[in-house]
Amino acid sequence: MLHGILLFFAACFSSAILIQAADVKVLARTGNGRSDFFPETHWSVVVAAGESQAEPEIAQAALGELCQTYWAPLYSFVRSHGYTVEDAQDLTQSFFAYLIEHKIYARAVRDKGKFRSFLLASLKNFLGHAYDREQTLKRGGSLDFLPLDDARAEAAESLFQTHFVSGEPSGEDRVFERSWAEALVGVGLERLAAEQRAEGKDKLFKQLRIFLTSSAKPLPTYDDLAVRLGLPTSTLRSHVTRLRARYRELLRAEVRRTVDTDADVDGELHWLFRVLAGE
Amino acid sequence: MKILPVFVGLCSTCGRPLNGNGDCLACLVRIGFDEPAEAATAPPESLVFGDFEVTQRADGFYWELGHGAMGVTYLAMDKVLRRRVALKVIGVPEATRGSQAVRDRFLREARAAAALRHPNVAAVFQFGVSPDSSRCYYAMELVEGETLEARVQRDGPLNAGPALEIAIQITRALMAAAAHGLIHRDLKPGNVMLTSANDATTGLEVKVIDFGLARAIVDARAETELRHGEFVQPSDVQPILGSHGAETDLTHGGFVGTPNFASPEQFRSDPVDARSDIYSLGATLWFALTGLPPRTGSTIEEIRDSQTRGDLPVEQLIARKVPEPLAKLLRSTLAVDPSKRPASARELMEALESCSRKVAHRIGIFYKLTAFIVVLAVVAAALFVLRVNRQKLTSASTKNIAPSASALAIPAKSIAVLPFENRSEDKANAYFADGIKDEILTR
Repeated sequence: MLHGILLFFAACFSSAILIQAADVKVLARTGNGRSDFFPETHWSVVVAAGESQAEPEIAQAALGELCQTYWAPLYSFVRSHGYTVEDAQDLTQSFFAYLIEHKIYARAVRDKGKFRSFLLASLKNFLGHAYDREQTLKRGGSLDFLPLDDARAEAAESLFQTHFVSGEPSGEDRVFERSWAEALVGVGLERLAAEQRAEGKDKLFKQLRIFLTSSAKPLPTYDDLAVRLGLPTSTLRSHVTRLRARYRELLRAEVRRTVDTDADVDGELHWLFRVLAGE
Repeated sequence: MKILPVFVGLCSTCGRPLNGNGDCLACLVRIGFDEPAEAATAPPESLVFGDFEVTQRADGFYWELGHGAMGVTYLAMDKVLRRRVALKVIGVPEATRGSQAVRDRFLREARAAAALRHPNVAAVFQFGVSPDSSRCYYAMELVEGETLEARVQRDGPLNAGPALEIAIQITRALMAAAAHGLIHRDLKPGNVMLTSANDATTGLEVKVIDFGLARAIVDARAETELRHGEFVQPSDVQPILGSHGAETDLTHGGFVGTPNFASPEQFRSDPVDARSDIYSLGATLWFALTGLPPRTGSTIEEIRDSQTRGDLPVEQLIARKVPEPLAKLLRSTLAVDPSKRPASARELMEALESCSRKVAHRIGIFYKLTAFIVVLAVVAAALFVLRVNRQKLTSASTKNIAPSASALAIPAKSIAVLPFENRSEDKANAYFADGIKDEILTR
C-alpha cells in the first residue's frame, strides 16, 4: 500500500507540471470586442403593459431600470419643494414603491408619449396626495425595490445644487428638466467612456472629450493638439469625428429608451435643447 | 436657506452656463440632433511613409494599432515586400524640423535598435524621416496579440506561473539586448506583447516592442519637450505633470521612461545601465501579479517620493498570495540602489529560473495533495462497495439461498479501474501509471 501511495505522489507531481502548462496556455487567448451597451428596455415596454400587451413583471423590470437612471432628476424635483435631504431621499424612494404598488405605470397611455412627462406628472400627483404618501412611507418606502447607495445620493444632491435657482419662476419644473438632460447626456458620455476604455483608448478619450463637452476655455486647434499628442492632424480630426458620431448614437439610443417611437427622438432632443438654452 | 446655483463658467462655444463638471449640457444635447459631420464619411487621403502605406479600415479611417503622447502606431503595408507591418509615426515639432542634429540622433538610435534580432523582440525592419522632416517613423514586425497591460486590465492579475513565464521571456530579450549594448529604457506592460506561441510547450510567446527606441523617439521630439516643459515619455501613457521645478529638472536631465515603471536612476537623470531595465521588469512583473504598479502617485514627485522611501506595498503581494520566493525576487529587482539588484540580465534569469522551480514545486505539492485526497476517496469508496457485495454473498450462502446465475456472473455493484495515463514528458514515468492500476486491482 505504501508503495502505491508513493506512486500516486509521483504521478500527481507529473500532473502538477502539466496543469501549470495549461495555465500558461490560457494566456494565449486573444480577442477584443466592443461591448454593446444598447439597453433593451424601453418606455414602450412600460406603455405596452398599460395596454395589456406585456407581462406586469416585465413592465416593472423595465420601469425599475429606467427609474434607476432617472432617480436624480426626481430627487431634485422633490428637493426643490423644500424638503430636507433625508426627506427627499425617502420620498423619492417611496415614489417608486407607489408606482409599482398602485400599478401607476398601467395608466400610462401611448398618446402621452414620453417617460419624462409620465414620471413628472405621477410625482406631482404623489406629492399632492398626502394619504398615499404616508401609507407608502409607513411601509418603509421602496428600499427593496430600488436600493439607494451613498454615491447615488451624493450625485443627486450635487445635481440639485447645480441646477436649482432659488426664486426662479417654475423653478421645480426647471430643475427637473435640467437634471433630466444632465442624466441623459451623462449616460451617453459614460457609455462612450466605457467603450473607449474597452478599446484601450481611455487616455486619448480624456484628451478629446473636450470636443464633445466644450468648456470655459476655447477649444484647442486640431493642429496644436496634434503636435501635443504626436498625431497627424488628419488622424486627430478622424478621432474627434468618430467620437462625436458614436456619442450621437449613444445619446439617441438613450433618448429612445424614454420615448415611444423612433420619430419622437428628435423632438425630445430639440425640446431639451430649448430648455437648456432658456428659450 | 437660500441656495445658489453652482457657477462653473460659461461655455466658450455657445456662451451658456456649464454644469458642475464644467461640461456644456446644451452642446452635448445639440450633438444628438446635429447631422453627422461630413468629414465622418469622407475618406482621408492615403498616408505613405517611404515604402509603407498606412492601411485604411472599411470606413476609410486609418487603421490604428496604438497611440500615445509621442506618436501613433498604424497597421501598414510594406509596398515592396508585400507584408503587413506595425508602423510607428512620431511627429517632429516644427521648431526642430530643420535640425540635422535631431535627425541624426534619431537615425543613430533607430539603427542600433534595428540590429537587434531575437524571438522575444519585435524586429525593427526599417526607419526613416519624412521628406518634409515633419515625421520620423519606423516599421516593426507586426505582432498579433495584445499587450500585457491590456490582458491584465481585461482578465485581472495573473497567477505566479504565467507571470514568471512572461518575465523569463522578457529577460531573454534583455540578455540579447545586452549583447548589443542596448537598453530598453521604457520597459512596461504596454510594451510587452502577448501572442500565440509557436512553442507548443508553453503556449505563450512574449515580444518586447520598441526595444532601444525610447531614446530615438525622445531625440526626435526633444526640443518639443524642452519647449513645452512636459514630462518626456515616449510611449502610450499620458504625461503626468508635477510642479514646475521637478518637471524642468527631469526634462532637462533627458528623462526617458514611464514614471510608474521607471527606475530611480532615471528619475535622478543618472547614467542608466541594464539594471535600470531590471527595475522596470520588476515593476512590470509586479503589475502582472497585482494589477497595479509598485510605485504610484498622481504627480512625478509622489512617485519619486515613493521610490525614495523605499517601502514597497507588499500587502498587495500578500493579498494576491504571491509565493514568498517570488516576492523576495521582486523586492530585489525593485531595490532603489542599483547595486542591490541582480547585476545583469543573465543573473536575473538565474534568479527567475530558480524562483520558477520553487514556485512550481509549491504548486506541485498542492496539486499532489489534492489529487491524493481524491484518489484516496475513490479507493475507499471502491473498498466499501466490495465489502458490501461480499456481505451480501455471505448472507445468501448462510441462508442456503442459491444466488442467481446472473448475480454470480456480474456483481450487482462493481467498479471498473481504467488505465492511468502518463501525461508527463518523461516516458520513463509510464510504469507509475501501471503501478497505480495494479495497486488498486490487487487490493
